[in-house]
Amino acid sequence: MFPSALRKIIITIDRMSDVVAKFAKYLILGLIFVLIYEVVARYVFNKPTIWALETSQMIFGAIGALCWGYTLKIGGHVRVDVFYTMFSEKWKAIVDVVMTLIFLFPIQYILIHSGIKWTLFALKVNEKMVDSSWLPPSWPFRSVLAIGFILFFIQTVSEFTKNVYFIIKGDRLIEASPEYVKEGLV
Amino acid sequence: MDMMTPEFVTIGMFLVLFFGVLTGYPLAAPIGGAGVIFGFLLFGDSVFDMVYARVYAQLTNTGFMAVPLFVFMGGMLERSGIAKRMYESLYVCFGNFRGGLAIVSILIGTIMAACIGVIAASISMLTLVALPVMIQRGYDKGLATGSICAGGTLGILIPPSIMLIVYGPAAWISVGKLFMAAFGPGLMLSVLYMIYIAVRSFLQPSMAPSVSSAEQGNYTTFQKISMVVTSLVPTLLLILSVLGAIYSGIAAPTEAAAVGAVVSIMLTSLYGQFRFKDIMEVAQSTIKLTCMVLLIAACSTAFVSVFLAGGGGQIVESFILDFPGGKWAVFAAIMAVTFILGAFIDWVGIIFVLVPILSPIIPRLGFDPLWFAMMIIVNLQMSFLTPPFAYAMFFLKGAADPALGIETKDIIRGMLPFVGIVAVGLMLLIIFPQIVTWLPSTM
Repeated sequence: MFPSALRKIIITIDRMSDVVAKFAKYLILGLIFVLIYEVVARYVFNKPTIWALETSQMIFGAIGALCWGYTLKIGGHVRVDVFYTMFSEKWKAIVDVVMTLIFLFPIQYILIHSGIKWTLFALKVNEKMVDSSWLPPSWPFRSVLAIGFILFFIQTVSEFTKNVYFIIKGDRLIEASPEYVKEGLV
Repeated sequence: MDMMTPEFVTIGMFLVLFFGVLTGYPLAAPIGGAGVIFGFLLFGDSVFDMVYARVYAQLTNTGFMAVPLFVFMGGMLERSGIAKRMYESLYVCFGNFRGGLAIVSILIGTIMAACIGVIAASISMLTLVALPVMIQRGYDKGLATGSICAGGTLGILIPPSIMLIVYGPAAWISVGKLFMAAFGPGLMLSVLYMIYIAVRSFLQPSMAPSVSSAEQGNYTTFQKISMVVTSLVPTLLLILSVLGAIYSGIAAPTEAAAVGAVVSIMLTSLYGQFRFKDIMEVAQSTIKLTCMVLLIAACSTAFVSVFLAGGGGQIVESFILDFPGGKWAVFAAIMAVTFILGAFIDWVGIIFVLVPILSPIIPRLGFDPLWFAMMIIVNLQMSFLTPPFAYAMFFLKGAADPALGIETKDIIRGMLPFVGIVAVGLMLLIIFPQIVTWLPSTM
């Protein structure tokens, strides 16, 4: 009973990250579009836009924050695997659990706490983004970042739960996520 | 707190970082974790705003937007079939020289490097088009794989390069200047690689037999020229549109990258390889790499700002300035540390953590920051070719047809001479710093 409910929650979380990433794929195209629009407007028609800078910043930041969780789920955050590959599956899970507790949860706590605080602050004082003369309100972007941090945390909890389950029970809660493949930014 | 002396902060933060990273947990977490833990011990709650502000700055960094754009561009070009055309045309021109096919691999690696900022795309393309041909023609497996790894790795040195895009802001150097500074070293390495292959195949003809003209297919000179023109000209236009705009100062690297991304879609359509599904696949892998690098960026700036605010900067500075043996001893030590770290740790982490801490000290040692940056970056070239963290090898293994029977030991044997050549290249850059500084000085 308990594992099946847990399994459902974990699968739901993982699906949520997939859906967010699917949406973000269009954001990548949007980012390219906004930047090329600005290039054409500026250098071909000599009429730079006033909105392209902040719009591209918002899209870029949204992609980053919203998909950190998804990237964690698919094992995209690069590891130094010199020793890690020598560990047994169980030790890998133990390392992941301990390191999540010591390092990743504190970071996420800070990000979520400040993320919400600054969103509320931006709403209260009607803060603007001030990099150009467009001056859009900053709360929508700040709230997307906060949502991204929360999604990142939720996905981390999902990975954490999978690992704890594996350490205790010795088998996987859901089908093992694809094996870690080394692919850095090169 | 009394115990939080700058010395304690410096040593403590690096120890936490070092052991955390070695456990194999995603790199970003121990970097950022060391930052927030020490930050909290040092400054209490005020570290919250500090971290958030740093993360916000990274997520809105206009310069970093070039990273997804260049990754996207590389992915599109990989699917355009451009490398295959280029290889076929150069094959009929140079295949009948000893070692010619390996030299062509370096040549294509160099040309692709000038339109791509990553090595993954170049190495997988070369592995798909050049490796089978070389193996079929009886090339030594080491030489064949080594030349692909070395040629493909140029992708992250010759501009546009995402490594330079990341390095610039970390060291307060303009990315455009870095791009121009990287041309000399990149072309120099490319030439050194080709010379090595030519000499080696001359001395040991059995390693790289020449291809008879019958096997090449009997093309007339005119046909050869037209093949070369149709395969090279669109690529060269792409290169000129991106790099020309940056060199002339018309466009910022991010704007040029956006142009490159769009042109890469157009090129892919021009060669009849355009599929919307591919765009979405490329966008997906772009997301993954962008998020990976942004998390490391965010965590590293948290680490660095706490480290500097905690007094770590002065400790490192006085350590370096008092280092026995003068500035060249310091330089040798930094190079050695970078090389060793590079063999284990992803370059993104190295640049984001070390460069902001070291950069303010470099001019005080009497080194030109631009030249020093290039030394670090060329040094990291070796890290892509040095096991255990040899990216080049992973990409080649991932893309190679298993039927070719390439083993890890072949690749390692093949890459090592090229590591030596990069070391020779570093020496040349020390003796002739103009290789780095000349082009940016004409901007």
